[in-house]
Amino acid sequence: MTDATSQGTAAPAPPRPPGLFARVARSWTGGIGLVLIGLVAASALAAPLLSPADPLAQQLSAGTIFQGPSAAHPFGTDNLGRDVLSRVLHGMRFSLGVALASVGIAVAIGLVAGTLAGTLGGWWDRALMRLVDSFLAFPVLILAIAISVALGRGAGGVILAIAFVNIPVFTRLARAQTLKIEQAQYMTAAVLMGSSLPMRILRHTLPNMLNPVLVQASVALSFAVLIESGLSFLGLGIPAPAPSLGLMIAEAKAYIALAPHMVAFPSLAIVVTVLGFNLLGDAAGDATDPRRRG
Amino acid sequence: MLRYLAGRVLDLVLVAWIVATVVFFLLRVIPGDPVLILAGIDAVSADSVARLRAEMGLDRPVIVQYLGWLADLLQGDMGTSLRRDVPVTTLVFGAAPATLQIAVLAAVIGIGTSIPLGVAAARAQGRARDGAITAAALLGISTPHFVIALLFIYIFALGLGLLPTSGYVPLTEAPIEGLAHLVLPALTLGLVMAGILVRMMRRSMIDELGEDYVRTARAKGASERRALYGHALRNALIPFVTIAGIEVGILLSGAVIIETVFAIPGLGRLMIETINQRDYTVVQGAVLLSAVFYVLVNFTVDLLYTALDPRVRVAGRRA
Repeated sequence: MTDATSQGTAAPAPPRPPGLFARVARSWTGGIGLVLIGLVAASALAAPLLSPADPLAQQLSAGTIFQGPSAAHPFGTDNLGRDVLSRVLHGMRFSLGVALASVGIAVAIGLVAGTLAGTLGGWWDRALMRLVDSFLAFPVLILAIAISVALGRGAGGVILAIAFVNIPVFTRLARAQTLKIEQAQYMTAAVLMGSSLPMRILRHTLPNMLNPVLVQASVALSFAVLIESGLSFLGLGIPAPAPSLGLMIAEAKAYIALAPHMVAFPSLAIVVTVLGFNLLGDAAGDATDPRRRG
Repeated sequence: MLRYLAGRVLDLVLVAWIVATVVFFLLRVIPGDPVLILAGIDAVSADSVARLRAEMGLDRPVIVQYLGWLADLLQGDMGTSLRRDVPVTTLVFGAAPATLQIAVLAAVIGIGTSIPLGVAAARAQGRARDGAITAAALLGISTPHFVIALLFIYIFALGLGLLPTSGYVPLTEAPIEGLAHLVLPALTLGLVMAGILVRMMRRSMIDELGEDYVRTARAKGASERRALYGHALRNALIPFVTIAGIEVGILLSGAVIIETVFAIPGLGRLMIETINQRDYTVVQGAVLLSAVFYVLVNFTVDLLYTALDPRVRVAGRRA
C-alpha cells in the first residue's frame, strides 16, 4: 500500500493521516462498495422520478400480467400487472430508509449507554452489561420477530425491532472504546487540566470512537437490510400492497416457474445493497486496523 | 476446573431466566386482547369475556401471572394453545426435531466446508485462489437465505427435478426420503454460514501464519504440513470456534425463513403460523425454546473453547 499523502500538505498543523473516508475510497473493495451504495442511495432517493409507473397501479389483463422485461417494463410486470422496476425502486427506498433509521437509533442509544457504562463503572456497568448480554442470548431474527409482533405491524415496528437487536453491539463497542480511551495520555492530560467529566466525554471520548463506530455501523446497515427483507418476506414487515423487497419475493415465490424475473430483480436489489455495505465495512475495517490488510 | 464449570452453569441458569422473563413481558404487551381474539368477534358478550379472562388467569395482576407462569415453566408446563386444545409443549417439542435436523446438517456443511476453504485462501493470500474464495464468501454473506433457497428451488427442483422442494419426512420413517427433503434446506443454511466462517477462518489463519512460532517450527525443520496443521491451524481454530458457535445459534434464525420457504413443520414455521393465528402462548413457547437452544449451544461452545485454550481455564480459576 503506498502512503504518499500527509507529507505534501502545507497546513501549519502537524500532518494528519488521511481521513477514514479517503482511505476507504482508495482501496478497491471500498471503491466498489461506495459505487454500489451510491447507486442504491441515488435510486432510492430518486425512486419517484425514476419509476416508469405507479408501483401500486394494477393492470389486470392477459397481455399485461407476468410480462418479461421489455422497453416499457425493463424489469417486467407481476401477477397483478404492476411494473416490477417501479416496485423495486420504491422497495429499495423503504429498505434503505428503515436501515438508516434503525441503525441511527441503535447508534444513539448504544453510544449513550456504553459510554456511561464505561465511564461510571461499578454497579451501573455490571447491571447494564448483564442486560445487554441477555439480549445477545436471543437469535437475532427471532428477537426481531418477537419485538415486531409486540409492537404491531408497520414501518415503526420494523424500525424499532431492527434498532433494538443492534443496540447491544453498539453498547459493547462504546463501552470498550471508552475504557480504552480512558487509558490514553491525552485523557490523563485533560483530567490534570481540570476538564470536567461531561466535557471530556464530548471532546475526547466520543470523537475518538467515531471510526470504530462507523465501521460497525456499516456492518449493521448490511444486517439491517437483511433483517428487514427477512421480516417482510415472512409477512411481518409493512403490510401489502406497499412495495417491500422481501414481500415482493414472498409473493413471487408461487410464480417462480412462470415468471422468474419477479423473484430475480428484487433479490438482486437486496444483494447489491447488502454487498455494498459489506464491502464498505470490510474496507473501513482494514483502514482502521493496521493488522488487517489484504 | 470444577469451580469454573459451576460458575458457567450458574451463568446459564441466570441467562435462561432472563430470557424467559423477556419473552413473557415482550409477548404480554402485544396489541389486541387475547381474550377478545379467542372469543371471536361474534361472541363478545361481556359475561363470556369475563369468564374466559378468569379461566386464562388474565384478570390477575401481571406480576402474579408472571410468577405463576414461571412456576409452571419450571414444571415443564408452557400452558395451552389458545387455538387448539393442545399443550404448548406438545406442539413445540413436536416441531423441534425437524429444526434440529436441519440445523445439525447445515452446521456440518458450514463448518466442514469453511475450514478447508479458509485455510486454502489464507495459504494463497493475495493470489487468484484467495480472491475467488473471498469473493464467493462475500457474496454468500450478502445474500438472504430465502434468495438462495428460491435459487435452489428454481435450479434443482424445477429445472433438474432432482430433489423435493417442500415438505418433511421424518428420518425415522423413511431415512432416504427424509434425507432428500433435508438436502436443499440444509445446503441453503450451510452455505450462508460457510460464507461467514470462511472469512473468519481465513483471517485468523493469516494472523497465525505470521506469528513467530510458525516461523520457528519451520526453521526447526518441521514439515510444512506440521507447521500448518499442527501449529497454525490449532491456534486459528480458537477464535473460529467462538464464531462458529454464534453462527450455529444464528442457524435458528435462518431456520425460521428456510422452514417457511420449504414448508417444513419445524419450530420456525410453527412460530410464524401461530403469530398469524395470534396464538400467543404457542409463539411464546416457540421463541423461548429457540432462545434456550441458542443459550445451550453457546454454553457448549464455551466449554469447547476452554478445552482448546488452557488460558481461559487458568483465568477462570483465578477469578
